[in-house]
Amino acid sequence: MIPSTMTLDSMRVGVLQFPGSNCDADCLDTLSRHFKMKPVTVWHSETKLPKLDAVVVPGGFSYGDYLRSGALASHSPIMADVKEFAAKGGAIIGICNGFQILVESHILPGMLLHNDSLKFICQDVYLKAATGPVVRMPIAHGEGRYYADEKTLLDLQDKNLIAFRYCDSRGEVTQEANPNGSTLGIAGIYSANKRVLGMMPHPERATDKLMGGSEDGLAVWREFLERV
Amino acid sequence: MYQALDQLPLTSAEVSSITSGMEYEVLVQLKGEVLDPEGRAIQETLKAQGIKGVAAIQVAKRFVISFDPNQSKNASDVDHAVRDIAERYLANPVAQTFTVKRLS
Repeated sequence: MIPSTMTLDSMRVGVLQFPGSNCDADCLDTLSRHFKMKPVTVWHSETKLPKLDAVVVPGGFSYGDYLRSGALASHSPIMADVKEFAAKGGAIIGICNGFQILVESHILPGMLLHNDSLKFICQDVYLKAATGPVVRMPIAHGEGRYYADEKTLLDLQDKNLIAFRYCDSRGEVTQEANPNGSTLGIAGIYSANKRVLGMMPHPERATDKLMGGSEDGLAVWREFLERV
Repeated sequence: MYQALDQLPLTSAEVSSITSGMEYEVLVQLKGEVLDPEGRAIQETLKAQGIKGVAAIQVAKRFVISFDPNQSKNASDVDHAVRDIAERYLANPVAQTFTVKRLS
């Protein structure tokens, strides 16, 4: 934990909005209330990002999840500039549908398939991060089964790019703790330069005890923002 | 896409002008090695119903693409365009394969 939010409040963060985004407001709230930032929103039909230090691709059901979750959004006008931003080493966090959009845009490797149970799953999960303690936050998705070919998986493992794996409360990565059949229990990954983070769980929904859950999402945001 | 929706309903002449163009079918499905839970669920149900011998079921998504005859003359160009659409949009090569068939 950092002692104050002083160092972060001048950061320029943009939250993308697609037709069907529904976690954008939660992300804006987290950034403004907990990190004292003045985040801006960027509509999908824009062709240029404003001057930003980081981009948030929020969750939701962009374009009604038609074709494949995130597939149509990945061809939105703004995504060309987001790809450019990523290629230049820009920091991006994609959450849930945002993660799906990032893989469909080939900013992150792999693909997110229908959960093996075929059910939409909305529940709290425990996550084991590459470093740090076990954290708890909600997932809410129908297409969250991470899939990648063997070469990609080996690469993710070798380069320590698996950001989060589903685990039990003791931090054991087990089949029972894997809610959706993700390969290796993967819940989130980094890009090769570690500047882009994509994850299915919702850190923006775990920021207030008032909501009845954990506040572990704040640590995920803080870690991401501090790395920016 | 939105422009086309604005123009609905089409007149019968417009419908026949569209459908008299070249038509293609694109089938997209998961690669063989990727678990298809929908196919497996259907297979399990068939088994429970006493239907024997079904080794596997793979679910595919079918797209029928019709081309405007006034704009697409050259069949090999259209073939190429369909392949491009399938590769770039309709299928994700990470976990899916596709087939293209000309219908008319």
